[in-house]
Amino acid sequence: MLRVRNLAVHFPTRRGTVKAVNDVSFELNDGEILGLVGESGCGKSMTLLALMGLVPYPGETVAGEVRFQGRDLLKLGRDELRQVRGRQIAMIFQDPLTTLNPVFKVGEQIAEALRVHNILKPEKRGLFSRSASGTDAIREEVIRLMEAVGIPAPEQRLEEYPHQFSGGMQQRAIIAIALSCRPHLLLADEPTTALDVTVQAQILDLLRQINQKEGTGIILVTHNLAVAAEFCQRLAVMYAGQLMELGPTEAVIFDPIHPYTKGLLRSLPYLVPKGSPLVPIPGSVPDLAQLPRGCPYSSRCELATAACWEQSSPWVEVQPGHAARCWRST
Amino acid sequence: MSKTLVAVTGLKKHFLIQRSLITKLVAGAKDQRIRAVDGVDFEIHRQETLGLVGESGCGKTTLGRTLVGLYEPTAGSVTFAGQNVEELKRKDPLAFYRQVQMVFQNPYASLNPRKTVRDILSQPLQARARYNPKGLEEAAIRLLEQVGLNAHHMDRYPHQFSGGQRQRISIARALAMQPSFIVCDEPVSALDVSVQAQILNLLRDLQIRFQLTYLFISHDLSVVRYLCDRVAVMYLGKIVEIGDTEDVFNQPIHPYTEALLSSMPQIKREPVRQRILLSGSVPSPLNPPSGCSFHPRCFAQVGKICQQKEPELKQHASGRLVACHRRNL
Repeated sequence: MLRVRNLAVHFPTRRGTVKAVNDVSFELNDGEILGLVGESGCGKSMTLLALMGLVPYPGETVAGEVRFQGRDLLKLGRDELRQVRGRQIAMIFQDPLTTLNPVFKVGEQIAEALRVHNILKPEKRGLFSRSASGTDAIREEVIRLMEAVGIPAPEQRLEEYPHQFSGGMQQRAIIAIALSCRPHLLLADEPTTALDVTVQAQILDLLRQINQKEGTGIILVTHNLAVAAEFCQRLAVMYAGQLMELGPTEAVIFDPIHPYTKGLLRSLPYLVPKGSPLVPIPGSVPDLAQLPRGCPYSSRCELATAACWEQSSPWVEVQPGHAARCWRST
Repeated sequence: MSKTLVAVTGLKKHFLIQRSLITKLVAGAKDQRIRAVDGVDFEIHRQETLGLVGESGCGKTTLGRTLVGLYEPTAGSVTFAGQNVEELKRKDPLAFYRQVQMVFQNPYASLNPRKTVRDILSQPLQARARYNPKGLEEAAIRLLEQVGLNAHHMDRYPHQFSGGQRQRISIARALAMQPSFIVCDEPVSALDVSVQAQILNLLRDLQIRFQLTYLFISHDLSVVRYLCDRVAVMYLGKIVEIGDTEDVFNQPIHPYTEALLSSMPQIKREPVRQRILLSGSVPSPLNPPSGCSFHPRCFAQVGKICQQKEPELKQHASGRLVACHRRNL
């Protein structure tokens, strides 16, 4: 469905070029849920933004290829890209309150997506006026969408403003906007991080239903490994802009290859018996402007050798479909 | 010395939203009461870690702040080592704050950006005892070393540190008073997982070394399960269940606890157990529901009593305290 090859996003800074996304390649199969996990600043959100051509200034997508439905999204012009964005690929952001416009009614914001992409193609009567039936059709569709994402009493609630919605309901409204054009691919950037656990469970359940019913492919960006482990079929682990490990969820969680993945899992309180200390990864995430020449994890890796510091590590497929970027796996 | 360090009885903390006279006259608005903490009773034992969990807005931070004396309770009382906190604060505030300290959630907001680490640590040290300049420096360095930093960090400003290091400084600041009780309000939720583990280990080590008692407020259930001896579950300003962590996690009794724990994402080989999806979200503490405040979302109501009568926190056979009409307690 989606094939990303050697994607690179660079930010020029006074202290040198920051490689926010560095040579990232992965594929998403039809109807699959892929998890992109890593700590803050590892480049997972930037990868999503780059797919949509939304890298903020002064960042720039300097290399790579994003194949979607036979086209390279990075080569599309602005107008062509706008046709794809929102219509075929939709995005959900982390903080629902800043994503919705506070001065428009929620119903209008959902309707806007339908109008912009001409989903219902209302018959045009004159030059300016749309037929009344077209507007009604849009209203009906908005109500249907709000029902589909589980907003109770949609007829009343579409007249309300975002601040009248709770966090979970706001996120549902955003999902309704994202779904309005029946996209093939949904990019979700930390969709539940701002929400409480019981609401998080509701939203993840909703996303899973959409995936199963409509066959929508989902890329979920999250720092919460437990959420990713439960929700995704495959996981991609990122560190300092690079993809470190990619494989089926089970294999990555219970049989990790890369020392970083192992370290991350050991530092979680899920798998450690009570009373015994957690094993944190020493140090902290390195400065992206001053990475070592070799593997970016070498400064924190207990298994690092001279080769790790000097040469960038190879991408090795250890099991079919399960690969890691590490010298030790060769 | 009794087992109980902190005892809370009938504690309430309400916030008043006052409307202006004009809106009262024109729009008929009334003063409103946010019942952030609405009648809680519990005890914290010496040298234990009590976890306080619940969703945002359930009043856990307000409760924590009331315990350390940052808020005055609307009703009820808190006793610390047998003494009433309000009296203690009136008589000798310093003596109280020598015993009780707090670590805040956001290490970016809780450290003054214009002060160096030296200033941040010297102030509480001088409040506790008289030092000569050399002694003060040594004491500050000792604090830094206790939390895994060193003398090189003394003259840096908070922005020069990473999130994990800042939280270490906050902890050092709390330790400066040599307290016996620390309220930790979401101390790791702003941190990345690999750093979070470092701070959790540090808290555990310090607890053993200085015989500390913690109230650990968190919404991250996996962290609470790992760190806490006992856990209290809050919903809309009330405690609905309190008991030994493992008991509560293995066999929750209150329906809210059950739903909360089942919605916690897990890393496990076995298939995930059936999830209880609660409908709706937490009602507003401005206007809590009648009877049991959980009844509009509850899947295990036993009848009209749930809507009419507020359940009391009662001892269950397993020694746990639960506020629910469902079981015959």
